[in-house]
Amino acid sequence: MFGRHPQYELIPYLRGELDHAARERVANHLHECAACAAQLDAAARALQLLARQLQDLPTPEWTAYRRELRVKLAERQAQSRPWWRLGAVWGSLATAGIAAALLVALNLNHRAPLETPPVEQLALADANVDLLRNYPVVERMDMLENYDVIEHLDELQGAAPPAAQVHQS
Amino acid sequence: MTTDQTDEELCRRVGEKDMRAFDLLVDRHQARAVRMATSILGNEADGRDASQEAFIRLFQSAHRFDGRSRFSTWFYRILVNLCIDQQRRNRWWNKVVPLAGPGTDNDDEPGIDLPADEPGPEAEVIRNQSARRLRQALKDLSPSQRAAVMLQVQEDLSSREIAEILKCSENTARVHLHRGITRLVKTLKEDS
Repeated sequence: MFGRHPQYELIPYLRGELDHAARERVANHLHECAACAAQLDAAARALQLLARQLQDLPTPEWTAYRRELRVKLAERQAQSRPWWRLGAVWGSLATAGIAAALLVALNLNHRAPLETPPVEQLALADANVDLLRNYPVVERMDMLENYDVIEHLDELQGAAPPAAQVHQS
Repeated sequence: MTTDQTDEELCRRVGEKDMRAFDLLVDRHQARAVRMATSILGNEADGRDASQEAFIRLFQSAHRFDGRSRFSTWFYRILVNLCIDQQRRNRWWNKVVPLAGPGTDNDDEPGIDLPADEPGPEAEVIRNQSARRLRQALKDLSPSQRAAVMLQVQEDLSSREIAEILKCSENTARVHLHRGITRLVKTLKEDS
């Protein structure tokens, strides 16, 4: 009676990885099961052969290998750098941009007036409107709206009243 | 910096972008890394590229090494996973384009035999043929089986360490090992 074949424990058994109880169990099984014993023997031979073959694998020329590695590492570092940190060009552009913005801001500050005058004052500032400043005259100019009088000025009898009389009326 | 620093100490320095520490780590592990990658991938050029890629990943992520596992376990996890990923990506391509060049099998080659111990041209021929057969037998394994077998044979790692690298349970690592080696033995027997 072999019980369960400890197939997955054969390699750990071979390498001495099993605890005491498991090792005893596998050893007892191997005593009784020729198939498992043969499997263990074949695995040991294959591992031995593989280990020997590994020693014969060709190895690269290490100086060239490390040089190549350095180049690849430098390339990768350049690729992984954020785009806004790519080289001195971006730095120069950014500096120039900031300088230009500062100049524009300073210029605008110098030209901007401290207080904006009311619109009426702006209108009167450059115009020759002395007459308009004489408000009593201006107030009576609504008389001119009587177009009938204006149109028949020639028909009026006598001279025009003096300016003082007009003023008083 | 001294060369007797442990891998773990050097790795911490690499995390601070210390190139001297990086060079020392590369110097210590390059041969094993190339051999491991070449064994898993089945050809030298791919093995060289994969091992260099693993060193680049090491440089980029060394600051994340927390020291809970050994450096070699951490590094081989990077390397083996790279190889397994590449192997899976290339699987369909290898089916379409058969591998050519040295190491390719011919149908009329004799079966594998244990290499003779005595020197001489005949023994050399047999040894080369055996090596080719073995490489081909390795290629027939699944990437995880191949990685498990190579980690055991080359790095002398336990099932638990292999499980840690392959990110699987110890029992799964034992199954990979058993199936890989059983398949190798079967292929070698069929050839002989």
